[in-house]
Amino acid sequence: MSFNSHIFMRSRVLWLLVGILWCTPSLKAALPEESLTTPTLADFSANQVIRGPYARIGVKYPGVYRITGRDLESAGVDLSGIVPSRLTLWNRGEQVRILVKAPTTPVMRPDDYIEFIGDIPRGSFSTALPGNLYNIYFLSWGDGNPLRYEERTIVSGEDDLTTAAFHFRGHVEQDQRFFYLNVPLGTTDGFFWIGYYAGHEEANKVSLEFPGFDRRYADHVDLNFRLFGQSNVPGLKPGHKFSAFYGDEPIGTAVFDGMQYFDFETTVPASLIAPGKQVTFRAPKDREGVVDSILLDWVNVRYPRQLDAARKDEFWFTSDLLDRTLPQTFPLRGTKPGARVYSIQEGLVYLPASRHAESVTIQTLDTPTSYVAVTDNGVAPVEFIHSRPMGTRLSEVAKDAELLVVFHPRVARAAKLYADYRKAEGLRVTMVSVDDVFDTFSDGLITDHALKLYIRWVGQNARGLRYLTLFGDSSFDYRESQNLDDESPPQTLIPIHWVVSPSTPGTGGYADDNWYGAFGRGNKPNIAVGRIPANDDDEGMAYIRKLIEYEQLGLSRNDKALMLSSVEKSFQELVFEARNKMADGFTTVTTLFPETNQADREVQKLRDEITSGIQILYYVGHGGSFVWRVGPTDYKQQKDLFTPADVGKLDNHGHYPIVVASSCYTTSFNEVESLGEALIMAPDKGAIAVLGTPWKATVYESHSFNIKLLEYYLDKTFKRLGDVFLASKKTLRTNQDEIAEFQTFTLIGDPCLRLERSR
Amino acid sequence: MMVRPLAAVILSLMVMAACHRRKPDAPQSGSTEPPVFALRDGKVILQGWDDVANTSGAILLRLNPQDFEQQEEIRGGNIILQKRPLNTRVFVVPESAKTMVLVARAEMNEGAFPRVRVSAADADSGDSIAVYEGFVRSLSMASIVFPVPFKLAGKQTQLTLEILEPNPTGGRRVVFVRAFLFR
Repeated sequence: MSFNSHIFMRSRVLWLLVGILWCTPSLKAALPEESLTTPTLADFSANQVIRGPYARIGVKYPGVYRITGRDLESAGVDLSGIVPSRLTLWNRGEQVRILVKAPTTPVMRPDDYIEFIGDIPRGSFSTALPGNLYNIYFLSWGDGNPLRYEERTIVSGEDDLTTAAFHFRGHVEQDQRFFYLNVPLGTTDGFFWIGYYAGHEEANKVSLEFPGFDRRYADHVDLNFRLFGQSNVPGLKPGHKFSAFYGDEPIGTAVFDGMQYFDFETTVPASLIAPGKQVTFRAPKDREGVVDSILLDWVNVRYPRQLDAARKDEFWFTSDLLDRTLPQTFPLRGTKPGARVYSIQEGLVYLPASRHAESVTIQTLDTPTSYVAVTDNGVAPVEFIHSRPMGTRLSEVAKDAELLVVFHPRVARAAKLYADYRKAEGLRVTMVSVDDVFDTFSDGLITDHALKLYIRWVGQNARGLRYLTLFGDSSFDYRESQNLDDESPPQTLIPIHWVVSPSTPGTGGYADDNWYGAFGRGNKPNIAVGRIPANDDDEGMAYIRKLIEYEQLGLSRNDKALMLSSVEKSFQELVFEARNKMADGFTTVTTLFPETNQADREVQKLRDEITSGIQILYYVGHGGSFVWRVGPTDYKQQKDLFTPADVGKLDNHGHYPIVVASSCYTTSFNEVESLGEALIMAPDKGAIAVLGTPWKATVYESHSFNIKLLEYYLDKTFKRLGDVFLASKKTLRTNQDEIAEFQTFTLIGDPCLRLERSR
Repeated sequence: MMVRPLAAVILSLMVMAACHRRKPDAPQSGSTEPPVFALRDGKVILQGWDDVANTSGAILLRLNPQDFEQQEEIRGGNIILQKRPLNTRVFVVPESAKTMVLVARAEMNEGAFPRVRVSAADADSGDSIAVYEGFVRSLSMASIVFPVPFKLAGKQTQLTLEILEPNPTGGRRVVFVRAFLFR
């Protein structure tokens, strides 16, 4: 079957664009249980495979994959060290069976290859493991007990199942939408195929086909739609009611309540089945004005299917035959010449009787078994191979480390140069690649938990550790669902830790880096954490260039302070308080209160101010991930004041301010270039650091944090921005563990930044 | 992606420039490590980066959907490849191009991605060769890299892109092509 969506427009959650303040005053967050990330030495030996040389392999889709010696060489693997008979492949701690095609030579040659059946990184509550796009396999050539496929050829003719059919069970899913949903962690990964909205019937259709449907064995196809209730209107009963249509024919109605999954089972009569028909869901006429929306996650399809490969390069089938008893020996018909059949459970590869044969005979077990028939054309190359010639051993930590740099290999050169720069000025630095951390603790798969485990290990062993720099960007859209057409889609380089919080009702929580540096209870940080959200070395180098300019040229040292807010008197009072506190530290403190009705002029005025040289910019007001806004609380009356596009128009080379925000979402690094990220990553312009919340802040509580931060900023006993940041958090610690607000203020930029203040 | 500034800076000219306010940091005394940066004319030169030529392969030629003959197949910045082949305009393959990159995504059909062939025809002789055959195995934009045949260098060429083996059951096979790059 095939499901093809026909919606190409992006959806983005409105509440991320619009910061509405004075939200829930109580910011109670679900706090992490720190015992889960208490590291022990045993954690480092969980993955024995990586202690010697290995290749790290990424796979994105299910399929039969081939890795040649040439592929390994291209990735930097020394073939002379590989004895083909010793090759083993591992995934999530289990050995994966491989077919090795290599003559009995002592070492692997470029034309030798292995084949294996790869899969996506499976999750528990979602199809794919949250946080991951790739499944990771480790190819090792040390000692081991190799698992191999054996090849077998059976001459056909024992049984003729020309007319046989099997129970086909298909799972169809395409992650093409992401939604923040205010539900507990572990409910959904937020990725869906398509959405349906009462009163809107536009092109929310998926194509549905049933190839090989065998009408002799059934008069219908069974469908199971996994739906999720997106809307949640109090008092509305039922909360969700949508009818399904195959073409124009109704095939049932799904009725359920709440923000939760619902499995809607129905059938399509055989008489309706025709090529090209599409499936959609529509609200009944009497509910078209109701706020009701549901999301389609996936569809399971079940029907009797003819046992015929239909000359496909890749054909998945089972021996769950209709009207036949097992075991059986039978030819799979309709194969292309050269096709072979992998039997995963049996560890066998059935070969055709001759090169030109158009069938492959297999011998089943006495229980239903899965198979895949594949031709050379159907075998895929893996997504990536990374060589690890020395293996990975992370347990030894420099005891005197003061700065830990966690980087992604995509920004390795920039991270190295950054670390060298900090070493050159006397800091004791230790570095680690996130891939090495994941390989050690989580079988190569991305988890915030594994990263925290390692950071805490360093914190335990290097008592002087003060700073943590996360070198690499992150994205909510790690499955590339909303960026299908981006040539460089956002990726998870350093993973997000998600805090569940009712203070952000729209999203149900927020991304938090603070957690990585908090080793005790209450999410209270022990070390200063900053993130440099670079996506590649170019971006990383651009930030380092700004960093060096800031510290070495000192052009910001005598720049002024700029206090920025809106027309609202209550906000202006906060700004005046900040101005009075800052007056002695600057030659000039300028206040700016843009008028809504002159927004365009005010934007230019703000740009001019920044271009003229600002050392500290303090913003108090409305904001979203991609904007600061001016105007009253009602966002419909607000106007954009500053966006990433405005950052691009700045001309403040060398004069990079530190931006402090009492606003919502300014530092939401999980978005694709939030305003905070744009200010940091803009080459030769913008800001050197941005401090604020990645969540739906309250201005007054944010201000009470920031006023302390600004006070410490002027205190010359603090030399680095991270010291100021950490001291502010420590001073404002409460004894109430559930109060998370101050602790999750986020720094985008270098926590080791040496402050340039007037003398 | 930013543009790298001043790629070719001669290493021997790199000196630690005097700063007008204070002496910039130098590597630690006695260190054998090369300096991380140099200041020249008020500009920061990142050593090992600004002074080394970019080896990632500059884009010498980019063919966009507008460079195809089938303009009616353009949708949302991509050109859609289905049953009908797509042809580029005739262009000159850059002399120094080593690799071609097909930037495309596809939709799965019956659990499989479509298989495509890229052919290059010499516009003068009419000779055609297949330069790539394989799957577009990605739901999101991906780069498929393959070598430029030596004999195409500097030649007037037209590329043809086609889906191989249309689905025997009539299912929809579609590839969304964003660009061809020559590096």
